[in-house]
Amino acid sequence: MPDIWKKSTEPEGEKPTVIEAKGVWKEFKIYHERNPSLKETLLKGRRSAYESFWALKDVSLKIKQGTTVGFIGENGSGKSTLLKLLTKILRPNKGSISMHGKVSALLELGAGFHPELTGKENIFLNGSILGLSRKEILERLDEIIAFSELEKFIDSPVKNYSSGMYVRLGFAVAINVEPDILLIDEILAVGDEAFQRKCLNKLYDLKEQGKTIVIVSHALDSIRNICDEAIWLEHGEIKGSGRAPSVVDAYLDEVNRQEEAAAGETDQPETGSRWGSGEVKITSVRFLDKEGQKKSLFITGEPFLVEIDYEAKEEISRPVFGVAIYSRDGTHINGTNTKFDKTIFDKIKGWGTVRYEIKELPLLKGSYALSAVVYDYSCLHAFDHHERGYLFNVSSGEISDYGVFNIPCTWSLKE
Amino acid sequence: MISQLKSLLNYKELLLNFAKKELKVKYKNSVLGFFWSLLNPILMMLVFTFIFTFIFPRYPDIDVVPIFFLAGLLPWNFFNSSVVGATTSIVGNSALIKKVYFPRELLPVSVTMANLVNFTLELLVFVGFFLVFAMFNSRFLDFYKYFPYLLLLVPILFFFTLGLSLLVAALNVYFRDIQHVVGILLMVLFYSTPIIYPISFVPGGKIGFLYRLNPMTTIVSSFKNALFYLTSPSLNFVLYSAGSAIVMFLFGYYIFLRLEPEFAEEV
Repeated sequence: MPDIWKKSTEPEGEKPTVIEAKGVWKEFKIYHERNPSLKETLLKGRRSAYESFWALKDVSLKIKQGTTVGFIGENGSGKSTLLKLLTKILRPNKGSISMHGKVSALLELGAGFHPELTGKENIFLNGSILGLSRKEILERLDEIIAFSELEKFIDSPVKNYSSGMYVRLGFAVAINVEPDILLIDEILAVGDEAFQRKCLNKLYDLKEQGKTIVIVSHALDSIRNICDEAIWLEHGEIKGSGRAPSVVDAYLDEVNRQEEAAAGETDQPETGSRWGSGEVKITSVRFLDKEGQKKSLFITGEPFLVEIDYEAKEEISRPVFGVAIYSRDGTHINGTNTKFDKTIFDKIKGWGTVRYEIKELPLLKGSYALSAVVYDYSCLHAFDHHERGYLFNVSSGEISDYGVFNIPCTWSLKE
Repeated sequence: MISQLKSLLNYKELLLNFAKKELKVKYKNSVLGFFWSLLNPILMMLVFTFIFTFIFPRYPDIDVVPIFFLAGLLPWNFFNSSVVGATTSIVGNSALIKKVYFPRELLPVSVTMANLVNFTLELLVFVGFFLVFAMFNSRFLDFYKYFPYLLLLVPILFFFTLGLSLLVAALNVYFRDIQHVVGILLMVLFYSTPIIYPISFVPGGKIGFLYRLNPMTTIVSSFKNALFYLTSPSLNFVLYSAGSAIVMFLFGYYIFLRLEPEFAEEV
């Protein structure tokens, strides 16, 4: 990440607090059966039975002017609810929220577009919904239209727009609001790559202008890069807060731990197909970390160990054990075996375990499938072949690269 | 409520844009477009004129039947379409309510305002009618003397309508039955308001008293005084109408503000 995007390290204490929540509680009512009939409604009173669900429990936070804060947490952790409370769309049951400055919220691009109105008419309507005055919209109209790249269609009704055009127009209006406080929910995940970059660049601009930005996102890489601070919510409570990279890491660690705990309870599921003559059978395949602990989620660069248990019913000479790694879309990323790697086991009989080790796993974030096989020395006769039967996940950790592989590299400048 | 009203000032542009949208969207894709809003009461007037002149002649005392009908239909139409439009104004904009913050009352208020624009234009067309009918009946030459009463009557009607609109808009979020009931109630109200018959048809005594408790009765008959009979509206009627309008507005707005915080969860 270029240095210009990093926040300058000025003392934080001098900035005023612009967003403050004190002991906020928010309850949602979950109705089991909503007003089944008028008769029952009249007999039982206003509503049918409901369960209450506390989406936020005693949440307090302070956000200083000019900081960019990310809310992270699993689905249902309350982060979107918190954002909606900040926008005043929802009201807290208990506690108070105060905001200082002009607030603009982007919870959905193009919310409030009317299909029958033209693009231009919708710019005025949507702009004023987002808090712009007519004068301000007129000043920015050309810029908005240019940004949306919809010059040709701006006078036709938006009902004729494609969904991409719709989102572009929505975003073009939204970014031009230029509020003091900007609240954003998951819109970073909308649109194609080019659109997402446009969106991110604009966010960096706003950040440099010293705006306060609150982002709710599952895109942890974006949070790590854009945000100064992060707040991690779990089951409606703040589980952690502080500098964005460390909070994101703490959250990822927790997710990994949970996933491993879940994986530990059940043995690796056999999903793929299986064939072979059966003289040697693969009885179990395990993914392990360097300490030999079972796990299914690895961080790029970590040691990656696979243990393959086998049972040879008769003596087999020079068996060939192999593994292959596939990405979830079926791309064959790598396949190797003991013969290719010149590791010959003279003969095997009975029970045993073969270890396959990658010192530094080069794979980037994603889900992968592993095939484990045992063949005769000619590699033509399969004793046992588990095709893509074992799944594991990789998180990129500190690495921001795109793609499948982390390829270590260096950059230099020649003038 | 006062502070809420003040904060609405910050949103006056959004209010205007919502009202504009109401007007634009209503007649999009129709050939005559905006003229429909003017044609509507005129066509209704023609239907009633035809029925009560040729099929069912009941009004020997009324000299110019079309003006008689229009004088009642114009305020009624404003009231009727505002209330109908406001009923679904919150639930019909659920996407907006869930995703953007703005004072929710802007939606029903914008519906009423859009209808007020229509109503004003209709009244201007009405002036044209006066001039035409003045050729046949010289008493209509005096219409301008009573027209200024509208400056009092229109705001009364506006606030009464707005209060009811806010009330039904908010209640409909919780009970969708409201939108079905409103249509029926409006029909009942239409016949229990002196629109297509003169108030003199209504018997006196207890029934007459109850009848006059309907604020639309006093409002519409005051309109008829100003627009058709060309007499001053009765002071009692005007005072009662104004009082009902204030009560209805305060009550409707109060209920609306009470229910409003949970709209985003309920729509």
